[in-house]
Amino acid sequence: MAIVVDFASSRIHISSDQTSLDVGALYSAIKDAQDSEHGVMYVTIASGAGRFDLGGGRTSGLVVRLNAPWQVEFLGSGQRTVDGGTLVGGAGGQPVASTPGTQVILNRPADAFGVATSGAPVPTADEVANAVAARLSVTLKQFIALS
Amino acid sequence: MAITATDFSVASNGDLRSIAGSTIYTALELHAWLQDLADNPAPTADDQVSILAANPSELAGKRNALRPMAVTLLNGLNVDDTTSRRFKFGSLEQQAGAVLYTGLKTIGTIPGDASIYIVQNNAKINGGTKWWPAGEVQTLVKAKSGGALIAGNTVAGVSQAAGTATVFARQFGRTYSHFDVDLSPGSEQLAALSIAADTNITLSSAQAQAKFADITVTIGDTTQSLGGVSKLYKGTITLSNGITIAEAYQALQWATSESSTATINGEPGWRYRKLLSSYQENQSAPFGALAGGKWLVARGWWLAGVLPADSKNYQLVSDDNTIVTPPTTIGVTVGNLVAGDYVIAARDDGAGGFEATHTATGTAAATTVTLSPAPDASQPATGTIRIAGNKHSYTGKSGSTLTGLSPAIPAGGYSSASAFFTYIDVVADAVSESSEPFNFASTFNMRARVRNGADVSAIVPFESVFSVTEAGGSVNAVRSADV
Repeated sequence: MAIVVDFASSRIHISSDQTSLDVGALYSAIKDAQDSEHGVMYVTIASGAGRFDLGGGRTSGLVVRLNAPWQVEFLGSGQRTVDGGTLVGGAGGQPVASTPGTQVILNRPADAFGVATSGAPVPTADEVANAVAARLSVTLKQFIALS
Repeated sequence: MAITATDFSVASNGDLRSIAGSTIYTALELHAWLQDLADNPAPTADDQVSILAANPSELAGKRNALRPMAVTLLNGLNVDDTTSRRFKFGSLEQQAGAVLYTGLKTIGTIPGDASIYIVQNNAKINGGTKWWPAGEVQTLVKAKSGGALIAGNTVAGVSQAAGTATVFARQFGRTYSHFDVDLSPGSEQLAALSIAADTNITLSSAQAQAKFADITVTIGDTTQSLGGVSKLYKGTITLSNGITIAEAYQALQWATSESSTATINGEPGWRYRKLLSSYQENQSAPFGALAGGKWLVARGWWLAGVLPADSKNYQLVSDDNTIVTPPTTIGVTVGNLVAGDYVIAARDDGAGGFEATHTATGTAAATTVTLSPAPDASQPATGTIRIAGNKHSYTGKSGSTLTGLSPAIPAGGYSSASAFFTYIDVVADAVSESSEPFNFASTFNMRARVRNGADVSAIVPFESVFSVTEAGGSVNAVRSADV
């Protein structure tokens, strides 16, 4: 199982025995290649973002953007998966090179996002329940009055 | 002033001798005194001159106390060297023109305590013992003896005309001056000198003499390159034992001073003037003046052993009279590093990469490679180069060849492979990394990259282009933690 960075072809080769690719491992391999004696000759392969501390020991997901014309290329055939983060970018916006006989599934996990809101505070569950109960009470009273 | 009769005697054989006193009289005053004796009815005991004897002297031209007078002693009357020193402001010719004492007078800016010496026939006259006081000189100097003009001096191997003497003022601590005087016409000849305090002299004479031991002066052709300018020089001044330019200047001023015991180019230092006769002299400092801390080395000398701190404090003049200045040596530095960073810096290509400045050709396993175009002094003498992307260190650079390549050229060799010098190309082991020194030729842009992908110290790859000027160039890496 190996990740091989080929600067000449701008491809990151994933060995045929590797059916899944962890984005974190991919980025580590990219960083190692970039700061090598050989790799430092070239412009950077990718940039990474994410892994923000969300508190409670949780971090946001890793996003790796491959700089064009770099692409990941799986060797061998069969189904391959990319998970453990989000892989974007690459040549023509395609981070994974198309390889005959290989189907690649890019799993892109949902991340926690903060959403800005405005206006009155969101009602609590009890407040909703109380409101519903109040509305039902009125309706029931109206129904009884009519019957 | 009339001559005091008791100061001199005149023997019957015509010997006029100084016998008392020390007053210096003019040549005209001697003539007047002799003529006064010559009209006496009879000689006295110690002045055998009277109307009974032949005329003792005659003047060339009309008698004029305001002008130097050429006096001819007649009919066997003669002075010896010692007696001649009792006269000035004119000349004394005797023995039918076989002997001539010519007046010599210094003019110019001459301090009252200046030490002046006269060199004739390659020697200080009177063995270096002066009969004239400090300051300006006005005396008679023997110009002809035995019917022949006394030989002149040899300057850089070339003899001056007979009858020529050189007046030197080379007092350590003052600027030097000298003047060649043709004494053959008689009368009084002038020597113009200019002497001033030498503010660059900070050592005592003894200290400067001791420093001269740290200098080797060698005569001989040598072709040397300085700042990319290869020129022929006719001699080498080699500095050693940490002697500075300022000290070397003073030591060589001592070596050419009046009291020097050094020999330079086969000549005693006190009359050494220049390396070749065709060169112009540096009167105030025979090895070149020191101005503003910069030694303007005299023509023809190559200077070796200059301390790094003095690398810009001199200039040379080659044999062909070309002024050669040391190059501006600069370096580049990348800072704000941590150990483990990979740092590379090379000429920017203006398109986001490194400029491929050369092509390289070499055979597999060789440790030398030929570059095209040939590298120049604007690349470090030792350092690293990238050939076909491969990093090689080199230990020498000569013409178009790099030597000491490590590692050796890989299998397959190089055939016009793309190459460029990397001024920094190293895994950092300090907070900054600097290039080997190189010569500034013109301003250019340097691209620097700093990368570290290690988990504990990973940074977002840093890349910057900065200008390399006559002052060098530097950049500090921006360390933004990578994910």
